Amino acid sequence: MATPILVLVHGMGSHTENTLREEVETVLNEAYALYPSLEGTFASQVELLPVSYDTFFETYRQSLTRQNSPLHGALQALGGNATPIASAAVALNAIDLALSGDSFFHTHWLDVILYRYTMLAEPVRIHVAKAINGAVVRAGAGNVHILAHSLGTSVVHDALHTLYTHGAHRVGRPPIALNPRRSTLGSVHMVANVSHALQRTHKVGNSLVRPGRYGCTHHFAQYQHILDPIVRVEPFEPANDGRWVSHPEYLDKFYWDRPSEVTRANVHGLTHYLAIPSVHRHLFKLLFPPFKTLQAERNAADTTFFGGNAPDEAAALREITEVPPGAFDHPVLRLLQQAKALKDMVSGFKEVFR
Amino acid sequence: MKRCIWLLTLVLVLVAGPASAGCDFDSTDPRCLCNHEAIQPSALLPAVQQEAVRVRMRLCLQNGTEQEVFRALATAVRDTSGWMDPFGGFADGLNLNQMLLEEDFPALGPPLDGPRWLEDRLYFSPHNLAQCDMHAHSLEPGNKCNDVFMEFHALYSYALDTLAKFDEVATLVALTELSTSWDKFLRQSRGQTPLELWFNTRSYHARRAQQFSPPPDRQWILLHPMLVMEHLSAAEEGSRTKAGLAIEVAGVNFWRQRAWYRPTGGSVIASYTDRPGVNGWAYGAMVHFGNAYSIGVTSRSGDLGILASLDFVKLIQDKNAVLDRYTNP
Repeated sequence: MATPILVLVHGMGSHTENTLREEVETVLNEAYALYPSLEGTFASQVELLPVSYDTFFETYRQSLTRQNSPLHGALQALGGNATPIASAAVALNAIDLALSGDSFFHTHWLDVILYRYTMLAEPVRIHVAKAINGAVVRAGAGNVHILAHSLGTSVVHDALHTLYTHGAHRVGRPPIALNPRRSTLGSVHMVANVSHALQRTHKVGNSLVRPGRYGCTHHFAQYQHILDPIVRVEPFEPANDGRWVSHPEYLDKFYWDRPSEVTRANVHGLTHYLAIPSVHRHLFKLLFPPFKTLQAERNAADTTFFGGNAPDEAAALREITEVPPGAFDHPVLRLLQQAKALKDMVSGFKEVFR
Repeated sequence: MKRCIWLLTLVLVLVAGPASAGCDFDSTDPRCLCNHEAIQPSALLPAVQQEAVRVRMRLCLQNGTEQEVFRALATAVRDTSGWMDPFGGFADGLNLNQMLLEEDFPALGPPLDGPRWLEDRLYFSPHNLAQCDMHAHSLEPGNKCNDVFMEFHALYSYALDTLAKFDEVATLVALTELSTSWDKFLRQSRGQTPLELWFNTRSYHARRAQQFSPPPDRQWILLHPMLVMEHLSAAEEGSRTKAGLAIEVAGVNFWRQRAWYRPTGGSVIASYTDRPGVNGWAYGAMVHFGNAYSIGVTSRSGDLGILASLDFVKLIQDKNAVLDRYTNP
C-alpha cells in the first residue's frame, strides 16, 4: 500500500506545525517501539501532515494589542477619563484591552470563543479543508487519515461536512465538493471529542462525518477519557439503534474508546491519550493494515503503560468530574468552565495544560 | 497475459515519463496521476490489473475526459465481475462487482479483520475460506485469501482514483482560491474591534451560503474609537491643530477598493476636544482611503474643523510577518 498520510489538527492553545508534529511523532514513535515484532519505526511508515490554524486567532489577537496599546497610551496622555469622549473611548477600549493580554484566557479559551462565535471560523475551516483535500489529491482518499484533538475535533467535523456536501464556492459556476462515496477517507480519529458541545450549524450525528455507507470515512473513532472533565460536557454518544449508522457498521467501522487510565494530571492532553495502548493500537490498526502484534508484546506494552499509574492525579480528577455543572447552561460556557477547572488542577501538579 | 500487462505498464511509463512524485498537495490537473510509478505485476489478479491499467491509460494515454474515464471504469468492473470465481466465489452468492456497479463505484476500504468487506449491511466474504487460501497459495506461495482481497482493494482503488481525481483537484483549486481571498482580507482589511467583529459576523452569517464562502465585501464600522489630528480655525492661536479623540459611530468600509484615490468607505463621527474658545463636542463625517487613512470634517455650532486619522492597526500591524510564520514554519 502507498504510504498513508496522517493529518494532524490541534486543539486550543499555541501550536505551530513543528510543535504539533514533534509532539505526535515522539509519543507514537515510543508507542510503536513497544511492539518489537513490528517493522521499522512509526515515523518511517507514515507521512505526518500537521495543520496549524492558530495563526488566524493569533493575527487577530495581535491586531488588538497593536491597536489598543498606542490608543490607551494616548488616552492617558490626553487626560485619561477627564473628558466625556475620552471616558467613552476608554470604556469601549476596555473590552479590546481585556482580550489582548497574555493570560491563559487569551491563549486558550479565546480560541474557542473566536471559532464558535466569529467569522474567523470560516478561513480556519477552509484552511483545514484545503490541507485535507491536498492530502487526498496526493495519496488517494483511502490513504488519508485524520487525527484531531479537542477544539480541533469541532474544526475537523465542520470542515469535513462542508467539504463533502456543499463544497466550495466558485465564481460563475456551481460549488464543487468531494464525493463521499468515491473519495472516502481511510479513518477519522476524534481525540477528546468536543465537537458535539461546540456544534453550531452542522449538527454532529446528523452530518456526513460518520463511517460507512452514508459517511465520508471508512472508519470513525472517538476517544473520551472517563476522567477528562472537558469531554464530559454534552459528549457525542451515538447509540447502536440504526439511526446514525447501520448495526453492522456500528460494530465494524465505529470505535468508541473510553479509557480510564491516568498517568499524569492532564488527561485531556493529546500526549496522554496517544500513550494509552487501546488508543494507539487502534490508530496503528487503521494506518498499517494488516496490523498484527503478538499477545505477549501487547501484555508487555500494557504493563509498561500501567506502571506509570498516577493515583493522586486520578483522585484530583475525580473531584473535578464530580462537581456539578456551574450556573451556566450553555455548553460552550460549561466547557470553558470545566477546562479552567482542569487547568487549575493540572497547574497544581506542576504540569503544562495543552 | 503477464507479457500483455508488462507491455501495458511499460507503455504507460514510457509515455508518462520516469517515475516521479506524481500528484502533490497542490496539483491542479488529474493527469498528475500519470506521473505515478508503474504498478507491480499481479500474480493473484492479473486480469483485474489489466483492466485497472486500461482505466488509467484512458486518462494518461488517451487524455480522456471524466465521462470517458467513468465509462472505462464501468467496463473494467463489469468485465472482471468473476474475479473471485477461481477462489470459490463470495458467500451467499453475492457479487461484489455488481454491487460496485449498482452503487456507482463506491470506494472500498482495505480488509482489516480478514478477507471481507462490509457495505452497509452486506458482508462480502469468501464462500469457502480454505479453498480461497489454497488457490491463492497455488498462484503465489505464501499468499492467502486475505492477500487476494488486499490485492483487489489496491487495484480497484488504483482505477477508482483515476475517476475521483477530477473532482478532487477541482475542489482543491476552488479551496485554494478561497484561501487566497481570505488571506487578502486578513492582510488588507480594516482592523476590527471585538464589537465590530461580532456585528460583522452576524451580518456575514445572515448572508452566507452553506458552502465554503469568500470573505465579506464590506465591513461595518461600529463605535470604533480612534486618534485624530484636528484643525479648528475658530480655536485660539496655538491650539488650532491638536490631537484628539473621535468615535466612528457608524460606517462602512469596502476593503477591496485598492485605487488610492477612491474612498474605501465612510463613517459618521463624534469627536471631542478641550480647547479654549470652542465647543468641546463636534459631529461630522469621515471618508476612508486604502483601509487605513481617514479624512473628515466636523461642525461645532457652525465652526468647521478638519481632521485626519490613521488606523493604527493597519499602519503598525505586521500582518505579513504573522502570516509568513504559518506558511513557512
